[in-house]
Amino acid sequence: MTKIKYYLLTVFLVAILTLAACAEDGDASDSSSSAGGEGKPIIAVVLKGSDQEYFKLAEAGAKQAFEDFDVNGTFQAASTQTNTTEIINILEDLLVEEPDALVAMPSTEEQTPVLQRYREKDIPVLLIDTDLDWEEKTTYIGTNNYTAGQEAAKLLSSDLSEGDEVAILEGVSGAAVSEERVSGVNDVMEEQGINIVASQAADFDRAKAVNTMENILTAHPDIQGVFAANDEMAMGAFEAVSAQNLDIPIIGVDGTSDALDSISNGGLTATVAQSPYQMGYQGVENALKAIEGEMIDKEIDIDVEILTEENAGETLDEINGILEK
Amino acid sequence: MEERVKDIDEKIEEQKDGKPPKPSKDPKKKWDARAVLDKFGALFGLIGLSVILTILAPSFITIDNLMNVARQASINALLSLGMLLPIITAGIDLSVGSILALSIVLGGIVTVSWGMSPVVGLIVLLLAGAVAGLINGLLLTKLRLPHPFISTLGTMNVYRGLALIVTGASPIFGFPLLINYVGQESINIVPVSFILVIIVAVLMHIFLNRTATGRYIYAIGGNKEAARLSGIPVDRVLIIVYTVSGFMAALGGLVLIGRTNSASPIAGLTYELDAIAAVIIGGASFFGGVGTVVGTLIGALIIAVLRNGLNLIGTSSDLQTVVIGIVIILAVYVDVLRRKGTKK
Repeated sequence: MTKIKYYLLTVFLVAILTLAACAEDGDASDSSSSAGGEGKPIIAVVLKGSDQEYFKLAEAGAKQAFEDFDVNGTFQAASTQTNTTEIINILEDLLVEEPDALVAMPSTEEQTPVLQRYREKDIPVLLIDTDLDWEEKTTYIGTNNYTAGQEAAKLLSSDLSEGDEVAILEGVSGAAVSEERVSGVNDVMEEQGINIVASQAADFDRAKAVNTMENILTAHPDIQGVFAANDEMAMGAFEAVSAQNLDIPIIGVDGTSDALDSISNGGLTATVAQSPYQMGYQGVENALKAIEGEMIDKEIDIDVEILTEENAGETLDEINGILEK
Repeated sequence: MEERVKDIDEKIEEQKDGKPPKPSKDPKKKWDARAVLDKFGALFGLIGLSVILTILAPSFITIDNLMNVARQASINALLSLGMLLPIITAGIDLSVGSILALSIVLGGIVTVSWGMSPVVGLIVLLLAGAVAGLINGLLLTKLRLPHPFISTLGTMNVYRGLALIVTGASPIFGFPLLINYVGQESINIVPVSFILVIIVAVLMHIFLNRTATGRYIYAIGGNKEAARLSGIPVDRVLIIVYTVSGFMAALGGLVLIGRTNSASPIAGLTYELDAIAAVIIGGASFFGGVGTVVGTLIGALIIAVLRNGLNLIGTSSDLQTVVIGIVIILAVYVDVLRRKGTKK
């Protein structure tokens, strides 16, 4: 009886692994294993997460570039960005295969040592989206989060006058992305003489943002503007604000598809959009240049785009096209 | 029915290795401080906290704000009422946050993407939660996994992954009113979600105290082997426990859809921890056999009041995390003191 059980268990495990392998093949994500790639440069792209649309767009950009530049591309992503060790494991595993260049979207400084090991093997390392304080990086391709905050604050304050009150919804406390965006907002608001009466964390989470915004409105009923450090929280703030029949301008950052949908329907005021697709695409493009020995800038800025009711719809169509929705 | 319940209650008392019933039931003592603490400890905590917050932030005690607290407590209260059952059986359900996400995205796909009737969507949503819970129960009892920590830790990952796969990691939005209703609307000023919590709490109280299965749940938590030997269908009861827990997670998800007007595959991350905290603050014990519906509700309210109050005062988020952590430790410490007391 037990023997049969073990036997069945083994068969089951083998079946699952085979299934997983097949699924990966069908996904065409792992083209490195495919034959016929002899001579083509191998470029590895590794992302810190895969549980958000943002990462899917970066993935789509990278894969488009694999095709356009005819490189032997490998794509891998950690499951979620809060697990900072998962991406380290992926990077360690990939190092064995010695790709010609690495494009990485890291989550924290914890990943610097493993990236350093790539440089020791003379493999160019291009960072996208998230910058690290690390001398040896080949380049950083991304959006300046401080600037993104400033742009949002300028737009928000354009309708306000000195002495007006605004609230800020912060991301996970300690996350560099959130802190940079918020400090961009703070600086502009201070210049304009607008009071930030509440600045609370809602962990980038929509449901938490609804709660936090309700509480902020209770404590400060006269608020005239809201900045949220990402679109998910902006959407949550919008739910809280509209439930009280208030009309307060709300601005987020990212450019997710449902934020864009809300903006074009007169919900959210605006979002400062980053282009993860471009980051993925340009990451691969510049990796190829680095392999071929071309000089590339230490920092490649991908401009933010302010999307309002006028242009959000177009961008939404583009995103849906990329994600094949 | 009543008689049957009494019968089981007697059986349960017998199983406790001949230990006398709780000191609170001792007729010789008229007033026992420990018994009072036992019953109302969490309630005192809630009242004390509310008084402090009212002094620090006068807007705390306004009707509007109290309704906000009720609304904000709803999702966690539903998850906690579900979590109460596994914890009474000395188990745990780590997968509730993931079940919440999986059930709402499935409901979302049916109603929004496929454009089917919201009634069908609602049924799919709730059924998905119950089935996910049922699977937890089957894994625990049929595979004989050593502890539900293992089985639900596994399914926590499986369900989250499935939610991400079926949505392609994008949130679903644009729900019809019927599905948004519970989380979004109020009757007069009372949030519908909180009314739902009260109804569910009453039903759960009756289930735990007035039905045979309910009494079995406490019996299993008191002593699983003794329960088995006295003829209680332990496996069947455990399967029911985890199915109910999954169903409650889906119900919490229904409220979350209305609150956020969306269903995200990453919704409910770490919600299991808040639910466990509420149940423990409410006086339940990880050792099983102890825990009440009222206590759990108060536990969920304490967490919501804390978050609300700290927002009102404008406490920095780093400090908020510290305060909530300290409250959990204090609450469990009270539990430790209580157990020490009972052993003497």
